[in-house]
Amino acid sequence: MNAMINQIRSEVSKVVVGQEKMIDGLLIGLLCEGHILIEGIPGLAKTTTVKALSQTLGLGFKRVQFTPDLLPSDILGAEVYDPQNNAFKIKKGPIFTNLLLADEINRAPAKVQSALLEVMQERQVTLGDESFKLTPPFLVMATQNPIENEGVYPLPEAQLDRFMLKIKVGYNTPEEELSIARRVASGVSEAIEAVMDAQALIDLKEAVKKVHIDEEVERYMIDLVTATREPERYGLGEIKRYLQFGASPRVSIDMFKAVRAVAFLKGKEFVTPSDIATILQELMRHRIVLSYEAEAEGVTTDELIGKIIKAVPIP
Amino acid sequence: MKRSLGRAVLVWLILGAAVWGAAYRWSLLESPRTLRVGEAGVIRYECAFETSAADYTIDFKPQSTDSYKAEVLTQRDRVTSGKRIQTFDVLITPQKAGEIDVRLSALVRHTTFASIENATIGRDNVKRYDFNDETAHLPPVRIRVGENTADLTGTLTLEASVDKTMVRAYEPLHLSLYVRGAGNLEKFIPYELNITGVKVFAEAPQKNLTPSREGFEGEIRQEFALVAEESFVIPPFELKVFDTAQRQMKTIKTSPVRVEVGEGYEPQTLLDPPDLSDTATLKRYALYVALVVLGVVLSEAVRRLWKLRPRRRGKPFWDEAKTSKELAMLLALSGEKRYDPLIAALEAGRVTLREAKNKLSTLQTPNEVSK
Repeated sequence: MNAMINQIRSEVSKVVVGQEKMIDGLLIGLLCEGHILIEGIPGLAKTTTVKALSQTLGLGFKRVQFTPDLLPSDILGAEVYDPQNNAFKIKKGPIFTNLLLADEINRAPAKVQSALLEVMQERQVTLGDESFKLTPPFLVMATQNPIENEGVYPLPEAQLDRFMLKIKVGYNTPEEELSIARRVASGVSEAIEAVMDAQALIDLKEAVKKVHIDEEVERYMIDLVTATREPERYGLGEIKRYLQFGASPRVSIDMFKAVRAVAFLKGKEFVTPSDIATILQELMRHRIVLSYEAEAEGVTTDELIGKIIKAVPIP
Repeated sequence: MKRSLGRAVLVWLILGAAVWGAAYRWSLLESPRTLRVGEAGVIRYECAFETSAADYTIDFKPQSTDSYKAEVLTQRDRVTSGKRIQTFDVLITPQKAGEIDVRLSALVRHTTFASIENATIGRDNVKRYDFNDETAHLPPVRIRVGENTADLTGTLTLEASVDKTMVRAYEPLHLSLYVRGAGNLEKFIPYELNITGVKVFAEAPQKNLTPSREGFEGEIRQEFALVAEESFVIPPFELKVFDTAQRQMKTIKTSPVRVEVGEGYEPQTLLDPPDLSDTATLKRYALYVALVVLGVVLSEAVRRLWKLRPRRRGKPFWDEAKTSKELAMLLALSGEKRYDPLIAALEAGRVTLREAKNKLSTLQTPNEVSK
């Protein structure tokens, strides 16, 4: 099974240099059917990576560039009048695919972002009085610019909670950047081949589900989530004032899925606490709501997660 | 109705006062018959009204001519037995010899009915007060003016004083010259003092004067500083004055002052010589020198030690791990994939905490150092 994962990585690396954490995050999302939010400044190959991954997997892929004048019907579709049959017919939007790349999702206003809520959670679309189930796998991979940028609308908490992982993309190393520059300057780009089909993906998902989680590790994960709500129980009273809301139960659900995928990608058959630490920030950073005090003092969710992981006893 | 009637009566009364109380008469109370050029004299005019004349003002600005200078010295205003009397003292200073006729005029201003009405009714859009102006020609005065070749005119004294009469060479001596009294002191011309072999530094005269019937009275002081190498004599200061009290020309002067100049200071005499025979002094000097040398040596030593000090580096983020499990968690939390083999080894117990930290030290890069 891991050979297939390595093949995917190899294909993606034909067009993407470095950014292993982002590629792993996308694979985890794919294996767990969790939506992914990728945040980073422009020019860090966010869109390229998602596009390359979809080509590698041989799945249906659609891309929507979110703009301030985008409407919900531009994504979901709409009922349109058919003069030949003198009736309304459904015109399906780009959401009807396997992998949807919502590029710069926070460039669109809240009403468009909210249009994705039902689709992401229920994996179905309601147009008029008819609901349509989406063909699995269905995955939203959204990219966004940091909210400090101009002309962006921050995503609402309910929307953020539906993303399994929020991956922050940083700059490449100088060596990687040299390689990128040389590759682009030469004008030679390798074609990406599809190395999987739908059945192979189903097999991979089944394999992930078989990864064992010990009960002690399960309790550890619950402790980590609980620590975001009641930090004083774990000797973290000093961070309570920074937390407005802790992580939701969706975090626990997603964590149980994601850590299996992490262990699977490492070639392990069981989950260890380090697998949890590997993905904990991506799971929680967008789902913890900070207090005004934290915002004022510049405290980030990543810092709080770091404190929590040091405080909760490791099994 | 009653209010309108009252207002009409008020206006009638004011108007009546304006019509019936306008008479006034100018007269000459005092004037000099003879003066000298530059000698000030006072002409006193009086303007007597037949009423209290509250609605009258007198604008009196005497005009000077080539023959004389005229200016108001004092102005008094009083009401006696319900009649207003204004008195003006005009200071006349002839500029030429001969007979001069002083013919002055004043502007008698009567407030108009319209302005009174405006003030009474309380209009707030009145731009200015209006007057009916009348030029009054004052009684002429003829004065015979005599020639005057004096520097100053008045009752004046001259005095010179020095702060000392014996100085050492190049030691400054201060000379003060005073002109005191009453007269045309504004005409004082500063003295220029020249003494052979003496360097003279002169200040501008300091005047402390107030107007008076004689022109001005008070004091003029002129200061000099004199520096010489040899003895010298300050010559007498002279001032040709027309004495107005004695009505004659005279010359007032100061006495000459002899200044003895002794031997100058030698530079070495200005400082106390060090007493090198005193061991306590020698010890003190030695201590000063030693302290300076010690300070230089110490500062150099501190500078070198500062350069050689070990640079403190930030602790790596994994340094606080106390167990292998904790280290594995911290490494996993960093998200660096290159730590994966080490994490696996730590979890499998193949490496100890110390071995893992040693290995991490060799992997250390600046990016991994926590702030």
